[in-house]
Amino acid sequence: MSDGTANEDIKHFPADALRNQIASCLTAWGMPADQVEITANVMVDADKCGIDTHGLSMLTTYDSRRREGIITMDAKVEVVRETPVSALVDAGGGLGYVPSVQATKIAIKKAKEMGMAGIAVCNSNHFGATGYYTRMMAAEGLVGMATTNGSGPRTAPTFGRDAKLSTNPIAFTAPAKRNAPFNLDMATTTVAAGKIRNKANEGLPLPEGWANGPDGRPTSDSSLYFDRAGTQTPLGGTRELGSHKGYGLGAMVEILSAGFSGASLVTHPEHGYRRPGTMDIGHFFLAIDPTAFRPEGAFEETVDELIDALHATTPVDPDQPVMVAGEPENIIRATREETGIPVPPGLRGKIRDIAKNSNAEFFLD
Amino acid sequence: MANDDSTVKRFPVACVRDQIATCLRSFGMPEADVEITANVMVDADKRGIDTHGISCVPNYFSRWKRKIITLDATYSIVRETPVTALVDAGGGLGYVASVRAMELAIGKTKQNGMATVSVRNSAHYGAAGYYTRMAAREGLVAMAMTNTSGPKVVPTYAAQAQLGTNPIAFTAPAKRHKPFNLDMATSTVAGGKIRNKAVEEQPLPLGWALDKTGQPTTDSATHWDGGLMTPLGGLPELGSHKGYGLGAMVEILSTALSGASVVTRPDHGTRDPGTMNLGHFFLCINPTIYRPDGAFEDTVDELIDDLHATTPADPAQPVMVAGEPEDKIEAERESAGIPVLPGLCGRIKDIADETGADFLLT
Repeated sequence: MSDGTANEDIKHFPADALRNQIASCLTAWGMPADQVEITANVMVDADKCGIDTHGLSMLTTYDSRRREGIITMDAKVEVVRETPVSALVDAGGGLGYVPSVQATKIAIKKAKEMGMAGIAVCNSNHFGATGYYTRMMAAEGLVGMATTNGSGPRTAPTFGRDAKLSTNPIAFTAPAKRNAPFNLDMATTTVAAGKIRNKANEGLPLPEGWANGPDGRPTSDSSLYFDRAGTQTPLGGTRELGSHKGYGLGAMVEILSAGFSGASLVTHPEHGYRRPGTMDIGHFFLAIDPTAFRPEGAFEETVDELIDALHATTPVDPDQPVMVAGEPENIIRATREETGIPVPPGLRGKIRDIAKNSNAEFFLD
Repeated sequence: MANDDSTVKRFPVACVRDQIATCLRSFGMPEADVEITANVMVDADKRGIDTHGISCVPNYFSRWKRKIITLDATYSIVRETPVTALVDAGGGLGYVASVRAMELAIGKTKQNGMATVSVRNSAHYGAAGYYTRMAAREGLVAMAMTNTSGPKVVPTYAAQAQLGTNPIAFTAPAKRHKPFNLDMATSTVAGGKIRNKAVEEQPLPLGWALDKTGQPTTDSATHWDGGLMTPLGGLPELGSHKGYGLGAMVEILSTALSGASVVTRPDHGTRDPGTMNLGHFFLCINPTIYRPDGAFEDTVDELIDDLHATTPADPAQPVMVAGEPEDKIEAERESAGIPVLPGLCGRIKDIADETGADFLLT
């Protein structure tokens, strides 16, 4: 979702400028051209629909990771185990986009043949916005689910003081007919880490309840993101408001992502640095073909019926109608096609430095 | 949740199960179905999920009298592939159809690696985690979801309830530990918690509930005046759209795959005679299609160990994992018995008197 940073310093760029910027950096870092194309497309898609934490802004993180030698830029993706309904994919230590697009394509093919399929990915890295992959499945008429574990612990379990889990997102997309797909893409924390990072990049305070300080109490200090001095809260925020549910969902995502694939658990003391050239992050992708259960089109009609009913809900404020998951992003996507993609000054400065140090062209002047 | 007030009368597990069974039998449920249903229901009481065991009997009694459940329902498999099935519960209570659906999923998963079984034309199935724990005992990972009898939870930005408490259960087998067993409503809290605060005239934590205009409130009295339940997250700035999204996901998986009634329908639950037409979703995966035998369980054990080792904010309150609070209560109630509150005992007695069932909670 878009952050409310001060408008006057924000410049807007066409999506192609961001894609070129991402591609030129990835190319300069040694990623093969076919992988650059896939990766830049998935990344800029996040910027296009307002998931500003998962597009261009990730270049800062990838730059430091590649310099630490924990990403293989020319990774080989390999299917290491396979059944008619499943595959285990080894991402070869590369960024997660290429192996995840491939895993999703395998899931789609197998689900269409068999009715459902589940693909586990190990030896991977950050794969961007989880919902990209489940939307690929929905575009083929399938119901999709995807999960990933993260690069390091940021979230404290309920009753806990230290961070043990990452933001562990889950995405779920269901195709509709009259409406855009229902598209849930959520961190199992109260907010995504990238939202705190973007506040920190711009020196803005955090809303109360997003994070706890080292004493376990709520804090508005966004700099804790850089200091790693505090923890994020699981969805629910406090035990009283059900944080044990967000914590439980986060642990579920960890189990699905690392338990099936054999990737490194985020709780491991050396997680992310256990082997050179990889962070060994794990993902899981699940696809179900609704026509295995119901006549063609019946599933989509039910989803439309639900979406219509939810849209018809009496709103608290008539100016803020009730939406369903995915719609805020669809609205931003339509707007940004007109206005271009806003890039705040802090990020632009960081990308300028990265491009310069990588001998990559800078497109965001 | 558990009520362990020492003044409350406790009964052996077998006694509570027999009481459930005699009631169901007196409603006209066939013997084989009584056996399965009573076992699943008493398991909830054993594990401290007091909202989903014997306390459901009065509900089922009234639904039976209103003829919106069929006690002698016929279970049938409508459609089937090696990894999927669509099951029709015949308008019955959800327990028998769900146990059989999960058994079907387990069988398919052992043969083919994974399975999804979708159930329509069903009713309340108790605690979702019962079914996923069935799969974990067979070494399989499982997920279960269901939609519910009526809307109680508001979408984010809404002043009107549109979804049920739409629970999700997920269970993963471990080796050294009991299975990881998440079983959660997608609302902030159960409706009963708000009611209890209202009864005691205590304030609500901000985020539990909204008044009838959709404004967050701490006034528990709004419970009696059209108060609304919030999705997990509680407030928009704390992520209630995520709980709302999860609730809608559960509704989609439970109804759109199965063809069951969507809870937002005005006549949901009473549309057709003899059935509430609720829907359930069961998913089962064999971890050995990905990893060598036992490796998955080792990873789950490692995660549970690491989570247990978290520094607690309060040393008296160690960090737990999902399922452990219920495991503790189960161990305690196996020996100490199941507490049944006097009000509930009275209601069961009234039902037993009316239907001619034996009353065993004396």
